[in-house]
Amino acid sequence: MKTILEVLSLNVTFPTRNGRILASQEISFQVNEGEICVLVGETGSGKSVIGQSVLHLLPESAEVTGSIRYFDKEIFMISEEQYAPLRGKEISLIPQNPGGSLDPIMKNGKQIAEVLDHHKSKEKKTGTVFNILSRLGFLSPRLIAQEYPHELSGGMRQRLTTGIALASKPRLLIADEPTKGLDYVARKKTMEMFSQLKENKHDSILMITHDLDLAEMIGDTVGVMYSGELVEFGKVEDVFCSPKHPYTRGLLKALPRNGMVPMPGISPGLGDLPGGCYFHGRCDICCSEGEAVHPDWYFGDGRGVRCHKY
Amino acid sequence: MSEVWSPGNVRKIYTRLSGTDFYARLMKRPFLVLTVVLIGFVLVLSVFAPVIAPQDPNATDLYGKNQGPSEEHVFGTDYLGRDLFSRTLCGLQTSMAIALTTIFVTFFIGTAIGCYSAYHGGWVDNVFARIIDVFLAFPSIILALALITLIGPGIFNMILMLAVVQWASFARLMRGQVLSEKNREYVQSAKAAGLPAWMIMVKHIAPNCIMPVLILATMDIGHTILAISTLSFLGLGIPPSVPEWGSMINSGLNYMRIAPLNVIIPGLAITVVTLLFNIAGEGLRDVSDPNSDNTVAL
Repeated sequence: MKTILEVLSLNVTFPTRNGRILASQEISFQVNEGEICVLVGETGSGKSVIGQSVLHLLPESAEVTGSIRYFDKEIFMISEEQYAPLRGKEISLIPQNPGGSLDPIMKNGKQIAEVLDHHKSKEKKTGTVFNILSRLGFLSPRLIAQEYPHELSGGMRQRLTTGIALASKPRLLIADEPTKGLDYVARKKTMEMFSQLKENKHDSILMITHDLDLAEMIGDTVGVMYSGELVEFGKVEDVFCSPKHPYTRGLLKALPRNGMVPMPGISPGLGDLPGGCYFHGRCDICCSEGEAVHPDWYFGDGRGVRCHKY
Repeated sequence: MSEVWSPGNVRKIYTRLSGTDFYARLMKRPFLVLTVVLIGFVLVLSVFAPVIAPQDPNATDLYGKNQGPSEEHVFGTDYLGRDLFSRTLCGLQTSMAIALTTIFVTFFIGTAIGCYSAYHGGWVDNVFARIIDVFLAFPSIILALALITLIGPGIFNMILMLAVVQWASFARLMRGQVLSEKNREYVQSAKAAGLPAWMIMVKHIAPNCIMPVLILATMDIGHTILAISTLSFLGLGIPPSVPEWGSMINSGLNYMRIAPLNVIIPGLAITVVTLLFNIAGEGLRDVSDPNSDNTVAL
């Protein structure tokens, strides 16, 4: 299986008034062709920053080091002109907030057609727009295409933004919190939609979410983020059945079906991280080493963990 | 053309328009509807002025100068015996032609510069913002006066100068709009979809920002008509052979005692047309703003 995306020691720093914020540190993972890789983590753990890095959409003030490779080609430390042909065409984004991510005064059909047009789809345009809409489960694509985004429900907007992202037939899709702010039914439909995408083995997806159920249901690999770091990475079965990092274990225990036991403490702000292991204040198996030394990234056999105990 | 205006098509357009909030809010303001109708009337008048005018506006009759209203001359004649009514009508054409051209030019230049500057950001934006500030720091009519003295009078020069002094206010308004709009999520996702910058600006940002600028443009038509009349009143701008309200007032001033209508009629015309466009501009602002539903001004 070919590796479609490889992230190597990615560091993103934002200079702010209160010092430098390490939004993501030494992130390394890979996404294979046809796989869905899910990054889970709390708000502010640096998940979205990774998606933005892959798409070159970080704010200009960000200071970055590291490397992102797309089919063995460096795409991170290259100029905007070199990157431009990839964006939208090869790698596309399902944005975080579908309501705000649609142009409020452009008809739904046109928003899809625009992307199709720009990326020079050979097929006949209107037909394709309707096809895309009906493939997304819209019952009357003709009507939907003539309407404006504010006339759709949250779940429909979610599907529409997905349609826009898929219109150019990208090789890699980045989905930023696709179930955020959706009710139970809409969330379930979104999950179904991604499961369908998964059956179509061409698409690789990098999904960023804090929805553990979604990660377990549709993910092939999963990465757990904590305080801007990847603390655990591996196959979904492995990570969910035998979590190695105490944070992952705590997260799983906090799920309603596992007894809803909350983790003690709160995660540190990215501006004032503790010394040593960032998790040591909340760790149930905390060792003296963890208080002093920052753990390295142990990686092997498709499984990675950042903990002294391994 | 005939297809567009076929009865079926017109009915279809009307049905779609009448379903919009915009239309509903417009219909709540009968005075605004009247203003819009009157502006339409003024525009038609200005286009067909030479045809409607009962007499040649430049035909002199020195035996019948400075006359009061009569059957032949509705508003009387001026100091050269020219028909005042015809001159006022043709003056409308002059004013509207110059004002609309100026507004079109300033609108496009101003919005383009404002949009580009704000979207690009960084030093480009800084440079443009300072240039805009400099232009806004001058009293516009004095700047226009100085520039026209510099390059000489004439209709084309007048349009050029009015554009030079007016583009900055359009650019500033557009820049402010785009600055707030460009960080919206839909702009980010358009970027993520790989659309080029010009396409994002023209197709997504500009349509979402344009309404306040359109309102400013409507109101500025009135101001421009006023500026044109001011400049011609001072003898700068329009050649004396072309009927224009400002220069008509200027020449009528000398005979104000014996033929007061020569000052009053063009003065009234300026007031009425300027007022119409100002009211329309404010009305457009109310109509385009859903929050204005409870505050019916006009």
